Amino acid sequence: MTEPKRLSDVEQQALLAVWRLGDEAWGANIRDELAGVTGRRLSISAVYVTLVRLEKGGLVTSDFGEPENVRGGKAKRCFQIAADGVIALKRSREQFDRLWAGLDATPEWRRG
Amino acid sequence: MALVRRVVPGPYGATLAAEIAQSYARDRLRRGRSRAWLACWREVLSPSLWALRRELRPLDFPNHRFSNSPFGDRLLSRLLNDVRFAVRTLAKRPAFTLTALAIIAVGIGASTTIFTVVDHVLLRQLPYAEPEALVVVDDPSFAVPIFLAWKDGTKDSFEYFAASSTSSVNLTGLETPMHLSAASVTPDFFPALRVEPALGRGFVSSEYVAAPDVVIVSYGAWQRLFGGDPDVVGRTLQINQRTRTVVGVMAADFRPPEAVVGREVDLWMPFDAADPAWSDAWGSWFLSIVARLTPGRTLEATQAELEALSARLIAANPGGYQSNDGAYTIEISPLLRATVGEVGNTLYLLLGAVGMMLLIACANVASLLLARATDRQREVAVRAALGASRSCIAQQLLCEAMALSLTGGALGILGAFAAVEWFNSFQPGDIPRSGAVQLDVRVLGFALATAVVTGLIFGVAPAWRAARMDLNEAIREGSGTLSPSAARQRLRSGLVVLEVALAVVLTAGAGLLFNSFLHLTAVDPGFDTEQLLSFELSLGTYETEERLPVVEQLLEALRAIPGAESVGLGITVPFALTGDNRCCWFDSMVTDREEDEPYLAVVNPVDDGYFVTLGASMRYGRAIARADRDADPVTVVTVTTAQNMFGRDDVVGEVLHVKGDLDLRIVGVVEDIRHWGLTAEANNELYVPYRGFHQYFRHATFLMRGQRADLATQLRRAVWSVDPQLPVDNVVTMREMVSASVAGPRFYSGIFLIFSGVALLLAAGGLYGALMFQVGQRSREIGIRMALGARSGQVVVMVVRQGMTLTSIGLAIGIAGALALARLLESFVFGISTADPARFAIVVAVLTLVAFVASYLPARRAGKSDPLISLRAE
Repeated sequence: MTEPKRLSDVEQQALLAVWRLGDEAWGANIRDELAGVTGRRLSISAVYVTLVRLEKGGLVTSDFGEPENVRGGKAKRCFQIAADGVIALKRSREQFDRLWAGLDATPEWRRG
Repeated sequence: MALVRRVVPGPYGATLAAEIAQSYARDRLRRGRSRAWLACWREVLSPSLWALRRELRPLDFPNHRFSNSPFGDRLLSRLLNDVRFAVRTLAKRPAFTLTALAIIAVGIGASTTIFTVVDHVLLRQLPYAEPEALVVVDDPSFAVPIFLAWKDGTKDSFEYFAASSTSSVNLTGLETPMHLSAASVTPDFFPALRVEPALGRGFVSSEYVAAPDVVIVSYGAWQRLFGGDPDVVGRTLQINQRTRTVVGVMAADFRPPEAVVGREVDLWMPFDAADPAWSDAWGSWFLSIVARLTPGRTLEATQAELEALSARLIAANPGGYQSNDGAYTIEISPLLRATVGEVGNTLYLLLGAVGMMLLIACANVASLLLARATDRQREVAVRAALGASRSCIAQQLLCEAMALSLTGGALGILGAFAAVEWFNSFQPGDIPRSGAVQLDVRVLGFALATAVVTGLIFGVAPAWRAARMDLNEAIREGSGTLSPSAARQRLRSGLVVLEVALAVVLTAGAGLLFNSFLHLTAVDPGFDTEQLLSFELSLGTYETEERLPVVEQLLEALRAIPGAESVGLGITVPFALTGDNRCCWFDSMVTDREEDEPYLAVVNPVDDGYFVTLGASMRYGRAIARADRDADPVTVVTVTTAQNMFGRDDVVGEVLHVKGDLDLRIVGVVEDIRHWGLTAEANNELYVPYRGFHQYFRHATFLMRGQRADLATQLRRAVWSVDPQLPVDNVVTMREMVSASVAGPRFYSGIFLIFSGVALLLAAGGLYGALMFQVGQRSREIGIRMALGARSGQVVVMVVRQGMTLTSIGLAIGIAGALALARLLESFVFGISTADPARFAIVVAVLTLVAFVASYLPARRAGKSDPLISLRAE
């Protein structure tokens, strides 16, 4: 396996949101999850851009869910995190953890 | 959503569109319509949409093509390129861009605001099913027997023929008693409008006949009185001392037909026109009629049929079908037209004014763009020389104009949101259907269209010029001719002339309206408005014979208030009947015996304090006195009445004969009191001692003059000491009443003044900009002139002369336009001539002054320029 692609900030967050949402991971929900948890406000299409990118990388898979039980309800495209996605997430977390190791959470600022 | 699917084709686009739609639906519930709209537009216009398109392209989706044709795609990408380029170039010139944006935003914002109002009031259909079949009978009121005869005779023409009567009722049983407005309606009323209560039920037919102790409340009353209690049906209200059971609640969005029942109706009650008590009431005219035409019937045919019917009815009963003023025709008109009434003209006038302002704004921006095009001539020429096609360059320039106009339009729409709020709180209150004017999709569509058209108007000229540009000449010109091309100058000069002309028209119109408003407020109402309070009581709950003692007790209690200088009583007071109010006056036919032809006169029963409290002055004789109380048939007439009936002022001692066998001896002549508003001609008015007419005091209006600040509180206490069940919730000062009666002219002349101020500023700016630019362009020429010995004064004169020439052409055209507008405005002005030369002279003077300043500033700069610098610069 080649060196896995590094995840950008948005990609990490979107992946985590997909993971957290489980069966409910579709565009608008992911946007709301991100807005609710991180305060980051994206448009639905921006969420899709990220997800399509991740899908190309094989980090998520997508599928059509059940049609909604309302008039005009359409099947939603639901995303699931793929095994590679979980691996990539863990890898970026480990990288961050290593970088954080030994640092105080409130770093001292030095003059100069 | 189609847009979304177009940008992002395939299954992703479909799901995305669906999700945006769902998200909108949910936002709409949670955060309201306008916010949901904003969020939705943010989604649709999001740049990520294009990113998504790019992202999907290489993905293998076998079942679709990415665009309908390769040509479409190329065009799109070229357009995108142009947009990107336009945004970049505009951002590089912030001063130019911001000025242009501000001008466009003001123009589009103002026109969107006015259009919102026009749309709401004039263009929109009434909020009832099949509203075009609804008609009203034009006269303000009818007697019950007439209504019944018509209803009987027109069964084929009208599906429903309904009547209603609105009155003020007393609601008691709450902390403080209050007035509510109640409409009593016949069984056909709700079916004619095709509305039903949203909660509970409508009246059943038995409730129209038997003692109808039921009531339907409006949504507003439901909220105010019951706190929106969902179990309100079955609860009771004390209305005019009678307990009525609530059977239904009207929907929140139900708007009563203003032309029929007035703007605010709190309660709906059944009215039994077939009650024998009414069968002979030929003299009580209080019903308004609304009807629904039978499908297939035309207004004209029905009108003819009604005329024939009333001719037959009049022949059978000549007295009954005549209203007091004798002449009688029956006319029906569509409910919408009756509702909008006179205000339509005013609003179209405002729309015209704002249109002119928008045109000035367009001319201004066009002239700015032209100036820039001249600046960029070289760049454009180089691009053309490198192979850019003319259409390509023109498209680029148009794109820039569009970017400007759409951004400016967006800013304007934001401004319009605020302006509509402002309009709602400051509008004069005489505009029908303006309850909840707000921006919506329709109006946004209008604003968008305006922005596009605006962009085309000011973008086409430069683009067209660029497309026709002669390359050789352009490159040569850029490298240093004396002056810019004559054609371009002509175009700019034309724009300046147009701006000046439009500004003249607007300023003249504003001057006219404002002058008229000043005249209006200078009219003497015939009484002293300072420190004068008035309030109205509904005494309908008392039996007729109880009213006199109650009124007397009330007068006693009010006189006893410390600080009350005087107290007066009348059935109405001046200005109480302006506007929407249609309460409780009565008129009668009066003759002076010698002459048989009767006059229509308003009869107002008053007490001895009435004239003193009003501060009206007697011309001859005396006022009504306390000694007149015991039905001594005396009367006081106004000067106009004396003039109309006897042809002279001093008519003390003459006797009047009032229909119904009553002779009145005239004891005094009072100066005219403007009873019906400042613009209204004085009517015939008789004042009689209230004692003999107390049966009319279903409503009594009290006047009180005094210095005390808490007079209103005191008088409430005094009234409640007599009867704690009487609502006193409408104490107003006469000054407010008079001021409210001219709210319309004040508002419209104010708006016109604002528009004309902006127009003047824009025109001055346009002139200044054009001259400034020319001075810059001609710096070489000016330099040579000065090097050859021209003094700076001469240069200044040259530039100023140029500016003033343009101005005077604009003035000439503008005055012609202003004269035409003046004719249109004739019905809007009061007391002044529309073609007053002095006023035009002022407008000309103001514009000339402004234009002079606007031309002098660039001229001074030209005069100060150093010939060496300007020559060396080339």
